[in-house]
Amino acid sequence: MLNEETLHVAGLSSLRSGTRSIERRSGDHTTVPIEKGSTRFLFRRFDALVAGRIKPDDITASGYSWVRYETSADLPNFFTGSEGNHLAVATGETVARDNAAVGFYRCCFAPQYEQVWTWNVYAPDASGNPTVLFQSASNHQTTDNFGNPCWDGISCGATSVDYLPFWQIGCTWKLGNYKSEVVYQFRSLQSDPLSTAAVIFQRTWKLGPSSNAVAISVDKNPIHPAVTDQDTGYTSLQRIAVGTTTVRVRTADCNVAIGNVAFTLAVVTDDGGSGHVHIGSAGGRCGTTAADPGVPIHDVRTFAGGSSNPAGGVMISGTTDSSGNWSTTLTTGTVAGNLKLTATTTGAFLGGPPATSRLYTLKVGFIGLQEKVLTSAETTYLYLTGQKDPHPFNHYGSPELNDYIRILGAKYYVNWPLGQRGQLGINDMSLVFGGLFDVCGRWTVPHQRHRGGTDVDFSHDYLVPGVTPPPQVDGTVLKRVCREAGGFRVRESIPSNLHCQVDQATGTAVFTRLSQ
Amino acid sequence: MRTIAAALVLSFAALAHAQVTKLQYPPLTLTGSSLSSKVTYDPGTQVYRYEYTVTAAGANKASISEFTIDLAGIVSRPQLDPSLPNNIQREETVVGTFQPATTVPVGITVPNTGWYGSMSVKGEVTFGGLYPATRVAPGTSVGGFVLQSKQPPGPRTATLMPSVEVWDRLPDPPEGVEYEPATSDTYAITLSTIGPIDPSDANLYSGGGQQPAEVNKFLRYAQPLDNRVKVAAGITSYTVIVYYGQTIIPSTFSATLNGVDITAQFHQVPASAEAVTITIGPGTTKLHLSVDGTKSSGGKATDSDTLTFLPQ
Repeated sequence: MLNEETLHVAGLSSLRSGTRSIERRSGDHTTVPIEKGSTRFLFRRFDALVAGRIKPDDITASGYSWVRYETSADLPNFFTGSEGNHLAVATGETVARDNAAVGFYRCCFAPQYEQVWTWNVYAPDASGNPTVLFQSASNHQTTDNFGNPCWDGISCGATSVDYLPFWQIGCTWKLGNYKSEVVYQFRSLQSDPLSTAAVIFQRTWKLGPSSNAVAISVDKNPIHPAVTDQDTGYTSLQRIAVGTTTVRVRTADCNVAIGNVAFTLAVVTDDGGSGHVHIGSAGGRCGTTAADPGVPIHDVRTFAGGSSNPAGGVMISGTTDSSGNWSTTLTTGTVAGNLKLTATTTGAFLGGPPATSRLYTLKVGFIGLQEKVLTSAETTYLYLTGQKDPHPFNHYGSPELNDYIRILGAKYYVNWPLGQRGQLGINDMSLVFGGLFDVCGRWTVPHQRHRGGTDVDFSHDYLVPGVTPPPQVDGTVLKRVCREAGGFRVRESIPSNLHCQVDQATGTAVFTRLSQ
Repeated sequence: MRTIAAALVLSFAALAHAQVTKLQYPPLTLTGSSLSSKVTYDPGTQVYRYEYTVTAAGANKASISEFTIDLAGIVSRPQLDPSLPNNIQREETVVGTFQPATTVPVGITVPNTGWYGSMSVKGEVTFGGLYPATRVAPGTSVGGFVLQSKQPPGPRTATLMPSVEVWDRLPDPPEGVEYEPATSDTYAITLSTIGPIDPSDANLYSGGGQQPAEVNKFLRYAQPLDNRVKVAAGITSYTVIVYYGQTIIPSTFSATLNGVDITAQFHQVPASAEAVTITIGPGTTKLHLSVDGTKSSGGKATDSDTLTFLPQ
């Protein structure tokens, strides 16, 4: 059955330069819908937009392709002359049903005395073979008495026309094997007979379920990491409970639930994006050059239903219910980063191969930390340091911490007599999205704190202009100015650390805000 | 149908960390240390001078590296007053003002160049020793910390803080050993002292008794705030902070302690205040103060107050 409702043809033409043609132009830059039989043709003429694209010899099969348009925004626009954004479909390739459209694409053609193209799409028959003519369209070019080419629906005179017939995919389309072909006839002279119809392009392809037929959704994204292994340092909020969210898997296509589908949900951590990614190796800084042992969610065997994912994460098996739904609760650990979730059916899906969901990225992190960027005034008494592998992005803090550091640095500076004043080095604060700050990249402390942008370490080197080696920061004076600035100095696990953090009320407020 | 009823838990921190030996930072106890104050008033400049001495107990486990005095006020004003001398470069002139605008303005004098004085974001003045040798070692005292202010005296809270040199000298522990996080603030001791305040009817006590109210204000007190004062057992002295009215007649002032004349211990300057330390105990102690003054009508009247100290 031909589906005329979904056929669209984009006619993109250019005018041949020449007096005769110009005189004939009467509708330049106008849009005129023309009905041809029961198939809609829309066209627009263009003066020079596609000039230079005339390829008189280009009527070979290589000039054709079968393409898909992912979204409606990718479709050709008849009114602007845009060819849209198409993706070529290879032989045997499966096209997901939620693509906006499929169609033919070709480039430019020089006029003959007469040319006829027929564009056919065959759907699968009962046996699954693409023999049922499902969609069809054609276009036609002749020549007027002056020798100007006349294209269907277009005033005579255009020397080159691209026809981009495409069909919007609907839920009535049957899944399975399809065939698309172009049939061509022509004659060069009026006296010639029309050539025998020939298939000059053919592409077999498959229509598969929608790309979201297996879909992952999460009730809350982002979610915050936990601070359950260490103390925040804030007495009224010493620990941050785990973040939780519901992860859902739904199997449905064209709004029809597909129940009782077995699948595997794979979760891996981000290894190259934002959040907690180890870059390089700690090297001598931590006394080891051993490889990063891997992201810490690999240790999942203690959890019922989970198994180790070779990719470094966890795999969970599930089956959707009769309504096509499945859900579970995801609970965060102490590390921030991106969780990448994919669900793959364990068997054939809708008569085709196993289907895999789109990648779903769930961010685990304390959202809202800001990079400490020094103002020109602050560079008088502060400098940034410690941007080392595996955590070169180590200067993220809450706005409260960033301001605290400004005050603290100024206060430390002014304590000293002229000639002894210098810059206090800001070392580790928090990671981009907070969470465990494993200095050595091995998922162990230190740092014990530095989880949510409330803590800062300072370098021991106090950079005083003209003084080498740099004087060492006085820990007692630093402790005092930490307090004067509204916070306090804390010893983490290593005594030599020059660690300060914002005061109790501020820190509690920050963690409360970040763990909403 | 759900095949997995249990919650999926993705633990990022599920690594079984190796057993870690925990160490405690050594104590920085300052118990028994004290901060004494002396307040004088210059009627000529109308400036109060508050001088402090820090005494570190011999049993202290660390030097006293700094002490703070709360200077929170209720009136917004410039924080630097050119008439109040400093012997340090004030941070306000170099990097900015961080204390609340309602902080009581003071001039800051430190004993020597080994100390610095500055204001905290909470409106406390901090005297801090810059070098180990200048801090208050156990069993020693350091004086010469001075605040000068146009504001009269009142009760204030002071905090003595330990130096963390002992902790700074600790070697980093080997792998598998770590210290429990700690802050030296745990060892801070909080004391009562005297410092400048923004006086108001809310924080001054009239002593009770006389009518009309204007007479009752010839003598007022920032400390105590009641005419019956319970004092802890063993306390042998108490600092009374007296506010003298604008229209008092100084020559009429008298003070007796359990009937003994101690008028000479007072310096009754009209529209000023002073802190006078009296001896109390071992039993009930009565301090009687009296002064005549001129009422707004032009007539004379007497304000007499009796403060009773009750050892517990």
